[in-house]
Amino acid sequence: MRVFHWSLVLLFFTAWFTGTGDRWLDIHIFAGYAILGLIVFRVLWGFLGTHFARFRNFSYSLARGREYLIDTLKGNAAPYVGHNPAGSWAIYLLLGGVFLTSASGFFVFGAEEGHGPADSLASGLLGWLAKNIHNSLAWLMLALVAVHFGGVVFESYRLKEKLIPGMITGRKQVPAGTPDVSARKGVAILLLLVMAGFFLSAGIGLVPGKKAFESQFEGQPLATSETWQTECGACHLAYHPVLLPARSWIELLHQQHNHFGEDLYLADGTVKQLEDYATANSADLGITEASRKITAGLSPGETPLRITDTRYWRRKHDNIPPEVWQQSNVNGKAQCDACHSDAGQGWFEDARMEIPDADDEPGVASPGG
Amino acid sequence: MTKNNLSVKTRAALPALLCLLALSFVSAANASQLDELLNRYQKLAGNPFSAQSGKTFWTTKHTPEAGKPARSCADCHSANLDNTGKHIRTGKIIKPMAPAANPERLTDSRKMEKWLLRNCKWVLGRECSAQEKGDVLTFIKNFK
Repeated sequence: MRVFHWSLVLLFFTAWFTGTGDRWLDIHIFAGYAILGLIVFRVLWGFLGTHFARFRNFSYSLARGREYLIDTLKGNAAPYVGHNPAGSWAIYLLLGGVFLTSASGFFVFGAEEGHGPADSLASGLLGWLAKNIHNSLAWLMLALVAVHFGGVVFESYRLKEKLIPGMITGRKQVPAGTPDVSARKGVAILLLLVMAGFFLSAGIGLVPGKKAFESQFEGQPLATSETWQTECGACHLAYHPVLLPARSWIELLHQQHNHFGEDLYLADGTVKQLEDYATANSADLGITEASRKITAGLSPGETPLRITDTRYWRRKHDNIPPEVWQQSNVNGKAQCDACHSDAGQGWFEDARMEIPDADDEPGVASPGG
Repeated sequence: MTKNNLSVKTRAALPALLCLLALSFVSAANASQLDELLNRYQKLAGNPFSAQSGKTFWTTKHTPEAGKPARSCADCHSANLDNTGKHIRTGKIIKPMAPAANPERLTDSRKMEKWLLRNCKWVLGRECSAQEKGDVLTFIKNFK
C-alpha cells in the first residue's frame, strides 16, 4: 500500500516533468502505463486487500465528507484510525482523476501520435481533442495533489498525528483497543505478480493484437525508392517526400538545372520516376504526423522549396539555440538526421530525437554516396 | 561402347573449369569498365596518365566563377583517400574514395562519368579534360 502510494507519487511527477516537449515522450508513456497498472492494482486491492485499504471500510457519502470538513474547521472533528470521510473523498478524486488523466493520455498516444492499441483513431481532430482533455486533466491533478498535500499537513498538525511518517512506516498511533490488522501479504504478492505479468507481456508483445512497447516508437512502413535514394541522397539526406507537398517536389525537379546552385543533370526518365514517387507519397496525403502538420501550416498554393521554410518546421525548431546549428556534428539545418535518428525513414518520431553534445562524433548519414 | 568420348576425370573437372571461366569473365568485366573508360580517355588525352598529376590536380584549389570561393576535390573527399569525406555544404558523410577502403569505387563507369561531370563543373566551372579525368582516375586507382 505504501509502495503503491509512493510509486504513484514518483510516477506522477515523472510524468509531469516529461510531458512537455517531445524528447522525453518515451519516459512519459512508460510512466503513464505504469500509473494505469498501479491504479488497477489499487482498485483490486481495495476489494481484496488489508482492512484499512478496502473501499468498503471508508466509503462515506458526500454529505459525511462535507460534514467532516466543517467539523474540522470548527475544531471538533472526531479522529479516525483509517481514512476519514474527507480523506476518503480525496482518495476517490485522486484515484479517479489520475485514472482519467492516464486514460486520456492513452488516447493522445493513439489519435495524435498514431501509436499503441488506439492507433486506428489517428486523426487531426480526435488527436487535438484528446490532447486538450489530457492537458486540462493534468493541471487539475496538480491542483488536487496540492490540496491533498495541504490537507495532510493540516490534519497532521491539527490531530497531532504523524500522518506522513505513517505513510512511510505503516504505523500509526491508535487508541487502545483498536484491533490489529493482518497485512495480507499473500494476496498482495499474487496481485503484484499478475500486474507485472500483464505489463511485461504487453511490453514484449506476447499479448495478441498489441504491439510490443519498443515498436511503438517506430513509424508505419513508408514506401521507398532506390532512384530517389541514389539521386537525392547523394549529397544530402534523401528527404522523404512526405515532408513537402507534391507541387514543391515537382517545382524542385523542374528547377533541376539550378538546384540551390547545382546542376543535377538528371535524365528525363529519371525525373519522371522521381516525380511519380514524390507525388504518390507527398505531404498532401497526410500519411505521417509531420505531413499533416506541415500541410496544415501552408497557405493554399504556397510552394516551399525548403522544408526548413515551412511554418511547422520553424515553430518546432525555433527554441533550439543558434550554437547547436554551428556544431560540427550538426552543421546547419539541412541534416535532419543529425538529431532525428529516424529521418532517413521519414518518420520523425517524438521519441527518436536527441540533440548531440558539441563534442559527440557525427553519425554516419543515410547511405547513397 | 562408351556413351561419350571424354574420360571420367575430364568430365569431373568440367564444372570446375566452367566456374573458373565464368569468374574470370566477372572480374574481367569489373576491371574492364575502368580500363575501358581509361582507354577512351587516353585516346583523347595528350600524355600518358600519371597518378602524381592526378594527386596534384586533386588538391589544387580552383575558382569556378568570379565571386565564388575557391575549392578543390580534397575539400569534400579529403587528400587522403582512405578517409571518409564530408560534403562542405550539407555536411553529409561521403564514403572513402580509395578502392581498398571502399570496394564499390571505380567499378561502375556510368557512376564515374556522372560524378566527373558534376563535380568538375562544381570545382572548375567547366568539364574536366580527358587528360585531367584520366590522371584523377589513375590517382584513385593507384592510391595506397
